[in-house]
Amino acid sequence: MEAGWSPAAAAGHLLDSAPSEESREQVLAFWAKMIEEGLISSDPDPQGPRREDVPVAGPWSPPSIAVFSDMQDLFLLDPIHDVDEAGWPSRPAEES
Amino acid sequence: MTELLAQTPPEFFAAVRERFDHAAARAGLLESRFQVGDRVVLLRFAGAALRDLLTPALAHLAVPGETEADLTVFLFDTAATGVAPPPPAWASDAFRQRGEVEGFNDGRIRTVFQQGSDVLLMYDRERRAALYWSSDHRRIPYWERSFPLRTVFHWWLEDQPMQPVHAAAVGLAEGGVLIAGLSGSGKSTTALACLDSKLLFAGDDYVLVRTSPTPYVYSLYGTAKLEPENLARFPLLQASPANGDRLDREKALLFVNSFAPRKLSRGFPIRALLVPRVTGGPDTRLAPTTAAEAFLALAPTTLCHLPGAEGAALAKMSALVRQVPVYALEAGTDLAQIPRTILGLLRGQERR
Repeated sequence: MEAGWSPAAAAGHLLDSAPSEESREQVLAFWAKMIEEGLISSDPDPQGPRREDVPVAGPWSPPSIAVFSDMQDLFLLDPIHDVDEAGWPSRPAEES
Repeated sequence: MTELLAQTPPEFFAAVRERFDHAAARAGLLESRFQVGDRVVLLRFAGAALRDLLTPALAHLAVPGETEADLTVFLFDTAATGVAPPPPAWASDAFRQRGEVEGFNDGRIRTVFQQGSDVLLMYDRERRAALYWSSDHRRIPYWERSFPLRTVFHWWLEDQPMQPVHAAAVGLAEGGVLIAGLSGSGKSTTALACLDSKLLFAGDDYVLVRTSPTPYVYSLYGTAKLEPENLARFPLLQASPANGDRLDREKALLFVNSFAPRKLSRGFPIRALLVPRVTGGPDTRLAPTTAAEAFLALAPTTLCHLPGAEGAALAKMSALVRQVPVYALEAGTDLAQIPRTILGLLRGQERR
């Protein structure tokens, strides 16, 4: 199995392709934000995406984080706290 | 009565499967077969309650009789059958993101307790079999009826060059477009605007794409969902929502079969991928975009709905955006321009 796409390799790849010192600073700021948000870890995931699976964007553009919050309401449901007598998670009955 | 807890994922799968047999013996076994991609799926229901809820979205894919199936799904609910599954074989803190159950997902078995619908889903890769259990079919939300079993299809096709994706698709028999974007990006409006044109409808929310040998989109669900305030823009659809009495709290759920059955397509080759942008102006036009932007419109939103097999899904979506031309569709308020723009793109490609 091929190795995963490690954050260090990805950072190196981005830094190598940055066309200017300003671009390199953008990459470093982006990486700091990723770490701050807990979105990357130091261990490469062997099941994770491979470097060649991520399309190359073409001309340089600064890296950015996009927030995808559709269906956020569903992710905020907590199935642990409401369970039926058998132990299965259960939403409270909907008010009609 | 003391019941021994099944400890391993295959044991737990077998225990739930056994409860399905009891439920089917009580409520009656009903079978439906559907063409999903290039293969057949057999749905075995214990009683009519879940069948009547979940199969209308797939009705246009029905196949007759005894066709051999590649995937079998066993579906039951406790309210209609009086049969419950065994208690969970995991601790109450075993639920992870998207309802994945820690310790019950491995190379063979996948297990999710689907948040929002309270549905237990399990898949046995070795036997190509899946389980679907709900405590009460009356508590299944409307959106589950619009894309039933999408997670099961995702698991089942993991090792095939096929992937359910969060996208709409419209086109002609000889080729069409995939429309990818977040909820609210104009995807449904674009797809529904095409019903009043020569373009056929293959899906508004989830479709199945094949990435090899050539890009192709298969219809999964003959449904559409639309924000109620947008219904006024579609005179054809105003009497059609299946949940017309609940539009104060739900999107309008539309079964295209019920008002435009001849507009449904089972699929077509993918000629382009469009990323819609709502402009607010009247006119619609195509603008350049990049494969990376198309990938971002398609992949994160798909992965956030479908648990497990992320690496394989990502590779398939990446392969897709590399193979087809991509455009931004700057969608205007004059809806008639939307299908005209897409038809112009398809016909322009034919001429080249």
